[in-house]
Amino acid sequence: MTTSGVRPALVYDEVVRATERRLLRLGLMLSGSVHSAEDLVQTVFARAHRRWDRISTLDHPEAYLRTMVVNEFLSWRRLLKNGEVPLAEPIERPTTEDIGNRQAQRDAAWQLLAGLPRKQRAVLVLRYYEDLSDDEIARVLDVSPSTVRSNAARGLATLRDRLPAEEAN
Amino acid sequence: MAQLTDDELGELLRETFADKEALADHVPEATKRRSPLPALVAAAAVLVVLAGVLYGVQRAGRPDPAPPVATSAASDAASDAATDNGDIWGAAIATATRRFQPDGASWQAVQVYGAFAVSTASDPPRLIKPGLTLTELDKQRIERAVNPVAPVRWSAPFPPSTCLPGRVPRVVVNPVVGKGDHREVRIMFTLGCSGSTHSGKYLVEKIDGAWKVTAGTGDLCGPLKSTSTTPRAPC
Repeated sequence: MTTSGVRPALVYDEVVRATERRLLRLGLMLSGSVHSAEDLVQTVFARAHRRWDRISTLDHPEAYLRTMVVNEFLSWRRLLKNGEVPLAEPIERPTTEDIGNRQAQRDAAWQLLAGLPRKQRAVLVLRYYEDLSDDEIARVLDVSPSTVRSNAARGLATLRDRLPAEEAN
Repeated sequence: MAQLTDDELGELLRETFADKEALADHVPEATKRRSPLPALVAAAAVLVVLAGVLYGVQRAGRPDPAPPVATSAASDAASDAATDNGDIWGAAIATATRRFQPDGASWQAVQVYGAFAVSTASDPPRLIKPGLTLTELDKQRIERAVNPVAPVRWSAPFPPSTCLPGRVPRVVVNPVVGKGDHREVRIMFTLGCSGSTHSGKYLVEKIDGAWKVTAGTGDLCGPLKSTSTTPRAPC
């Protein structure tokens, strides 16, 4: 006889331990803020626990949790207590060494990502951070691959227009 | 100034995301939260586990095995990680060094760094991301893997005050990330002082007792200048 009341709870804890760090990183790339990433992941884990009987039967529950994080980010309407929309935490220019143009570009890219529409940002994060194909991204976002490509193109165009190119050496 | 191409933007985004990963690594574990909801969830999970334990006590026959002790498991894992990380970095660096070796020529050496620290411009500066310090054991393991390809030069934290002349690429390694049965490690491989940069993640697996790179993102394993939509290519 199986102890069905025990096994799902243990598996949930194991999956949380195994995926939390990765989902926090994904939440950070999506939202631009460590605190927002915490909130995203916390919300997803709580929701996942309520549905754990079903999620635990999936072949890849960790992939499902990733989708939940992305969808939670896209549907996010939560405002900070003072009414502001969470933005990427400003990153000041590093001063320990003369990092040069490349670091400046990375800093600028991080700030510009925060200004993109959520779906464009999500597509760029899934493509360049999670290394998903356009077809995989389409499945995560429940849109067509052509929609993924158009969102990526628009997001990249915005970055291209506003980023300073590296100076020629 | 020429604008960046899609491929160049893709590489920049990969580097940008790699830079920021460490920010999430300093978030406390799930036990410290502001909302009471996860505590309630945890309490419910505890009740379910207790119910299961009580049920198990009633069963006839052999006792249930003791649950794994977190401290001993954690210390074993930490010990393994300490010895494996050097091998994992070595496999990644050796793979990249071979991958981007010019045709008909060999590298004179390869400079290796742990990911560098980043601080704010304030006074005093505030640490945004700590650097990755490679231990002597890490360095020995890395040299063992990389020296057959090119001798390793250990330098001060990135960026170097001067770039070494000749065919000496630079490799920056990030912390090894455990992913269950495999590991992932982000690296950045730069040719010369202002040469092209190749960055991405290597997937490393233990095969026949040795850590080996089995896949990589971007052009770390696939065709050079591969598009950002290319799924992980086998190495």
